[in-house]
Amino acid sequence: MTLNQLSPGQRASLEELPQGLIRSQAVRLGLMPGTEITCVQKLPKGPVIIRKNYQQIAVGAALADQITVKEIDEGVPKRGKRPSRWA
Amino acid sequence: MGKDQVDGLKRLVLVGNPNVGKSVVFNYLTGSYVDVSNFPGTTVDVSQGKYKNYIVLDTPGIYGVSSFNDEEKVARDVILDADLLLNVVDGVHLERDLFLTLQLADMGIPMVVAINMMDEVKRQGIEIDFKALEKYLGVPIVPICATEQKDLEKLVAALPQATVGKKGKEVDNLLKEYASLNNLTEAQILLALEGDLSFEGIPEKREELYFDRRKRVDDLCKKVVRYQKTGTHFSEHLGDLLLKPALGIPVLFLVLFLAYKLIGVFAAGTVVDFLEGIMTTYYEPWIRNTLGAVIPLDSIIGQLLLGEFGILTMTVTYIFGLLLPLVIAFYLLLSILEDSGYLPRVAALLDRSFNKVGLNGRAVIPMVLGFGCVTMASISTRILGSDRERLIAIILLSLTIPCSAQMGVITAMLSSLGFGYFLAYVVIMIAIFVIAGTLLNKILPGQPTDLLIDIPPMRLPLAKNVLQKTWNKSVHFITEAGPLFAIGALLITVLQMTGALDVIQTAAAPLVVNWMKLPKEASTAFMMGIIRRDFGAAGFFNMTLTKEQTLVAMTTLTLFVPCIASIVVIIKERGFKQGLAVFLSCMLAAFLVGGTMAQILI
Repeated sequence: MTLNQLSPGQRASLEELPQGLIRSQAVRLGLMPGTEITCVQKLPKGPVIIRKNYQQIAVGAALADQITVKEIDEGVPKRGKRPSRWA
Repeated sequence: MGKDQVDGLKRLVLVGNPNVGKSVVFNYLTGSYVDVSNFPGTTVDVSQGKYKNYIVLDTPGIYGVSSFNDEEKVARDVILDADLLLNVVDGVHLERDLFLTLQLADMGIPMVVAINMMDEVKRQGIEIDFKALEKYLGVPIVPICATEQKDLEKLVAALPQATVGKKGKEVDNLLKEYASLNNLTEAQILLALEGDLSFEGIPEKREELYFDRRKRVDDLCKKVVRYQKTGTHFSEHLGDLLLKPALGIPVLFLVLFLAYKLIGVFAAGTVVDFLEGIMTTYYEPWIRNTLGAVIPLDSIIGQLLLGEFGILTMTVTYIFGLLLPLVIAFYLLLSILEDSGYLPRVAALLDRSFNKVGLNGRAVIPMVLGFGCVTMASISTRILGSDRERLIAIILLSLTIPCSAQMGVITAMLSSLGFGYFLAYVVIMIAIFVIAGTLLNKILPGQPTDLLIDIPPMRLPLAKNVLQKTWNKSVHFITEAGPLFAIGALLITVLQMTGALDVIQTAAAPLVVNWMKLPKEASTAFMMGIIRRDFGAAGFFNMTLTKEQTLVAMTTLTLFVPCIASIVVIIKERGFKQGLAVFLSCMLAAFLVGGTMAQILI
């Protein structure tokens, strides 16, 4: 699935990011394959707002469509799922 | 710029992400004036100062050393020439900022790291293990609070202890591998490996190195930063709510309305009337009398300096009577919006709509600025992601956005006709904005770039910071734009003295009278509109026009070329050819739309 298909509250880890300049910019901002994020909200047909630890990032719809993600199963409580004391 | 080791001076280069307070540190060190934040376009030029035996250089705010845009290229070149680096980091955003820090450490240049915003760090209950961070990075770390001038003396004391930071394992291995190949510094080899410089025999491994560095940053943050479970803070909720269209859009309209009240009504009306009155009744006669005794008023120089559009008369009145109050009001509002963390939320909200006209959400800044002054908005298009976007933004700005000087007069004239006419004007402008943007998006090759921005937490702006920023930016704008207005005034005086102004007005008369169905004096008003957009609008004040004619005139005037200063800026930003093309197509569009309206309405 793609980043665009996540619903608010859903957690996922990033898989593939598009090639090129935007990829380097994403990495610098903290997004790379394997990064775990939470979808905070989705603007209608607009950007997806995601949270990585305590940082919020807006990802344009066209870009979010090109980023594939793997959903993290919410059923199994995971360590570090929510940033606890030590994030 | 070459190394300049005269007198044993060392080059100390300040590096940091945008808006981390770098410039406050620079001011503290050099004591000279510099812009406080990395607001678009204002720190592209590298500021330089002296502190003890250091030449201090301030670089534009960057997220990493590379060559993605002009700011980064400038910063990269300055960093490569540095003897030591002072990296200023936002303590609240370590995950974001440490990417640059680790990259600088990998470059092998001695450095000191200042962790700034310690007041905010404490306020948000973030704990940073400075000892562990210092050990990991291998360079001196100094926590500071620049805005309160706190612990800056400790930072200064740490400068002589600057050391080369610890490199990542992978980086270290690669650097060793290529060290023998070329006669290059580690920094040069690293940037070549990252694809930002090119030297024979060094392959590009940007992705590998970036991924490795990002992992190190994330691991490091896990070890040294402890966030307090903040729970449900009001500001956090507010921040999330403002991203929801149901609340975000009404709030946006409210903010725009307040902006209009502050800038369009209070500053452009009350304050400007008062100041302009002072300038024209006291200053202008005074300067004419004083200098007129030395320079004859009817001589060429007398006309250039003291004439109707003279450099010492109109330009000075314009800059201090009209522009300065508007610019101050505008930057005041903008600084509040910027410091509160509101603007990136608007960018996200409007991203979708901006995509349709070939831009992305970041274009909200130049567009909002345009309502203040199209000239400064055109300068700020430098923040946009691609050349294509900069061109589209500049065209839309000069075509459809009325600046505050003009808006005051236009609103006054149209609202006296009734709300319907005012609404018609607004709808026409929005329609033209959408049509022109959509067309440009279709015609120009390429795509709008993707939005990918950090959404900072909402916070209450500190009055002191806001005022400082407003002042610095206003002074900066006046020094940058002032000479441009002088050039404009000079051009118009020359046109007037050579009789070219009359020729143009007579030549334009048939177009204005037959096609646009306006009185022939209207052509004078349009010409005046080039000098000062509000002069143009004011020119129509004294004419007897029907309601329809007023609407046609105001629409044409808005679309019609921006003022002379913005033309100069556009030519400076886009080059002569494109600048001229923008100028001509705006004129064409203005007369086309105005004439069509006249043919239908009148």
